[in-house]
Amino acid sequence: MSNTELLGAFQGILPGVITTVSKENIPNVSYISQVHYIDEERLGISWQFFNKTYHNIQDNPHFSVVVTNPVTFSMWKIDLKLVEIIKDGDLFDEMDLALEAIASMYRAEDIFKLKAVVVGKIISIEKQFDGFKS
Amino acid sequence: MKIPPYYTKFFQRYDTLGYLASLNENGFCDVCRTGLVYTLNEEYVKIMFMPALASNLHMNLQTNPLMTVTVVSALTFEGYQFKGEYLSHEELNGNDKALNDSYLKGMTAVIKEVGFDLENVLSNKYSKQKVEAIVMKVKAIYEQTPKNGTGKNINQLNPES
Repeated sequence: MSNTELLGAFQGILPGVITTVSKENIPNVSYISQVHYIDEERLGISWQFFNKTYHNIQDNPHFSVVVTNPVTFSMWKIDLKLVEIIKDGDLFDEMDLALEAIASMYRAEDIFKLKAVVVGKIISIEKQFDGFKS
Repeated sequence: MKIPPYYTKFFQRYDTLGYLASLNENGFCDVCRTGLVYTLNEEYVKIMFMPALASNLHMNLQTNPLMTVTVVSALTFEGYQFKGEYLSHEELNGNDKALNDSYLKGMTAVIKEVGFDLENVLSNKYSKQKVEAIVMKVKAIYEQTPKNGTGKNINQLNPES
């Protein structure tokens, strides 16, 4: 993944969304504060609130995230498959630190507490909205 | 369920952005951005969208009518998820076009105030794109505002709404 415009969408400046599917085939859409580029095959998604998304993702490992570049407003939908859920370690600590910075930007330090990192394998990337060139 | 008046007013705010999710034939989520969302009456909402940005939506909803639209404030992050069932796919009428144009102008101005200039993108690249509408029967509303305990059905929340 060498697309610098897409990598710019992972800075956490504009919140993304995560979509999951329940056992009853009902879609669910939730905010996410941080999508972290791990490597060309994997992304880490910050998990602050254990809720419907958390249950869905364990029932159905396929999910999508939508991220937006804050400069060009280009938007991507990335389809992923759950690899693992991490609650400690280097990746967790790195994302926890980044989330603190994001929380500070939004003055939401009290509620933006990282509880886990959802690691997903990238299945496909679709540019949904072609913004202007920076 | 009946949509409480609070959410009709929430839709009328210019700082809101919407995301519409459906399921494709493989049972995976498809999601696209929406334009204006507004309440038609106590049970139904109308959701504007650009087919060019949601090529699979119509086919998805024919296969599985269960859908979700999440509307969030870009300024305060207050947000709600409306889950329901697809009723129809419609061309915009004159009133819809006027409402959607007004929403896009208002939303662009609000977003610009906080330092993000969407005007170039919308006016230069997307102003001539066709906009259509989906009508959805709302079955449940869930809070999405980022805070501890979020995600509850609004029936469990403070009934200011």
